[in-house]
Amino acid sequence: MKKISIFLFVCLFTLSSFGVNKSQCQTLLDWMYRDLTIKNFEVSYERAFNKLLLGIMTAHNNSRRSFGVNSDMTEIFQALKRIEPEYKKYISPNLTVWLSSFSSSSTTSELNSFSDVFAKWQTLQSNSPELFNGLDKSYYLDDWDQFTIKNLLNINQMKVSSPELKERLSNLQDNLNLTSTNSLNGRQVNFQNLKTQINTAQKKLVEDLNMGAVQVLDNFSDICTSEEINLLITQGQYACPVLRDEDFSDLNLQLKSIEDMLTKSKLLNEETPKELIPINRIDYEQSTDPRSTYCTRPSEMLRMLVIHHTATEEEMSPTEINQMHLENRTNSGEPWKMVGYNYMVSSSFDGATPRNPKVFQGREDTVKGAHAGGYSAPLSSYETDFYEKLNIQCGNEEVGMKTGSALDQLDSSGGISGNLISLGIAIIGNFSPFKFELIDGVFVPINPDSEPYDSPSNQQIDATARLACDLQKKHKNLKTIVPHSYFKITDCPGSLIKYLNQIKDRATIYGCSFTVKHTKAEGNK
Amino acid sequence: MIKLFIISLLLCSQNVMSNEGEIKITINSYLKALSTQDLSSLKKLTTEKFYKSLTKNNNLKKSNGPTKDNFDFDIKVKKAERIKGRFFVNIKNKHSDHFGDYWFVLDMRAKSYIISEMRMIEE
Repeated sequence: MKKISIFLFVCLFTLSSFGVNKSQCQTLLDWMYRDLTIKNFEVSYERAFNKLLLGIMTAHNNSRRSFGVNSDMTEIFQALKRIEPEYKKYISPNLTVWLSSFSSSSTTSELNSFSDVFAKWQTLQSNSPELFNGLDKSYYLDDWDQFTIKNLLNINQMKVSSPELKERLSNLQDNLNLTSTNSLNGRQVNFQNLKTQINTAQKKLVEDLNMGAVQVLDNFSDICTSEEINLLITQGQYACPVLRDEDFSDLNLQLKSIEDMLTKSKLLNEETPKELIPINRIDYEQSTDPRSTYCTRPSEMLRMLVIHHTATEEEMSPTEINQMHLENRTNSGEPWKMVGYNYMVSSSFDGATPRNPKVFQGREDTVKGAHAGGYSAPLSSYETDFYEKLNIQCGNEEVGMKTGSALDQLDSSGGISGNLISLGIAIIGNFSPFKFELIDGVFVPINPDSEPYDSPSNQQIDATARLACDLQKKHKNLKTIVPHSYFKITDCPGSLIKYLNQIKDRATIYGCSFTVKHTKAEGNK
Repeated sequence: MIKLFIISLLLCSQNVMSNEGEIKITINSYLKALSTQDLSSLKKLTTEKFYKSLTKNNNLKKSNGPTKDNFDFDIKVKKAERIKGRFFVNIKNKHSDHFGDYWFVLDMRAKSYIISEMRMIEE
């Protein structure tokens, strides 16, 4: 509020000097509306969370009656039990019995937190409508809920005027991110209670936003004349509900209006972080050997994200990985220019922790990586035409850069170099198991350093999803996530392969869209 | 002058060949030590750190067949770009189609090779 007051003062001064300006009025309204939205996150979260619980109970009842067991739903239920064992106690007795029938199941789930469950639930709602028979559409998770979850996940990067509110919102964020929570905490869970709570939250949201809008108009009536405001409202540019009661009952319409305003507002653009996750840059040592060459490529060429693990200790720094890669030579004997990956996700370097991983840039996006080590499926005629139009430049400062065609980098079966069309993201750590390889009757230990052989943390997956989404915004053709093993026979990325769909689902929450492909055969479909 | 250049090239290539030969002998000794679980030989052939990682959690498995002195395997050797006397070595069964991702890192110590670590190298 302090900030708003300062801004108001500046605005008033400006306006008194230069007269009323429509765009300034618009900016102020935008600013107030954003503040209102932040203040209502808790109510919105309550509404979303209760809708999820209501949906779970409805889906459970419907599946038990006539539709059998839905594997997505089973996965969600297992995840909920894992995230919060107290669920058994608070959910209806029937559900408890049903849930317990899964206690011995060995299915591996990719859902580690409530944010994963929310993402998966949206898919379940659209793919399995039969599970929600009898549930009024107003109790479905909707865009407003998704907006709430998405923004709560980013709350650390948003400017919240009250530190107390920020702390409470951070707790909600933790609740969404943690793999173990106590969110139910004694709440009474049954159909009627949930519906009442959702309706109460809905009513409160509508009232708060209505009241907020009235305040906006009252507070700024000196700046925005009623004619101007009316004009803006009738032109449909605002979510101002005072004169549009019938529309205001629809939160989704409000959401659209608010998002439109956020997009339009210059002030908010300054505050909204450009990236979902900051990219840290390191001044890496690079090979100066004249034999060490590299290729640059246009952004349109980038179509895939290749997920790796480094098969090293988690504590290894990007700088050390760079040093390690500077030791490498290509098959034709050329020294590597620098670290082969385009990005590394660290849980230990430069203040990073497993709960707060950081992303480090390796090779620039425009520089062909050294990580995929294989070729795509043979190109279709459409793909051939596409790549034919794109040129690459290869060489170095010593020998100069030579322009060539992307199609120069095909293998004998007509597949294109994986390194050329992808960005390599490596999560630093060892996610492959220790194993033996039989060489002439001898059991040779492979990957003996693999201890502990572990799963990635929820935050590592989240950081990778944020990065993936940021990269898709930069490179429009980047639409597919693949494991390293897509391109060649390799253990890499170890157990991370089970988390690719989770990365995709998280990226969806952040507003991106990816397809996951595990094999080239899928690539040909 | 040209003759001198050719001779030095030959000497140089012989040196690499001799390295590869020595490396193959080292790997053969390593395989023998593994197959017989001869820990004292294994200790001599590896660094302390690598030895520890090999022997932790009973990571070794004795071979079933008769004890052999020579093993049949394919080897791929790459010289490290920057660290002198370091080689990356990959091995596979004679009848396997491809080499794996994991390479031995061998360092020259007093005219013999010691296995320092195993490393995934992505090409």
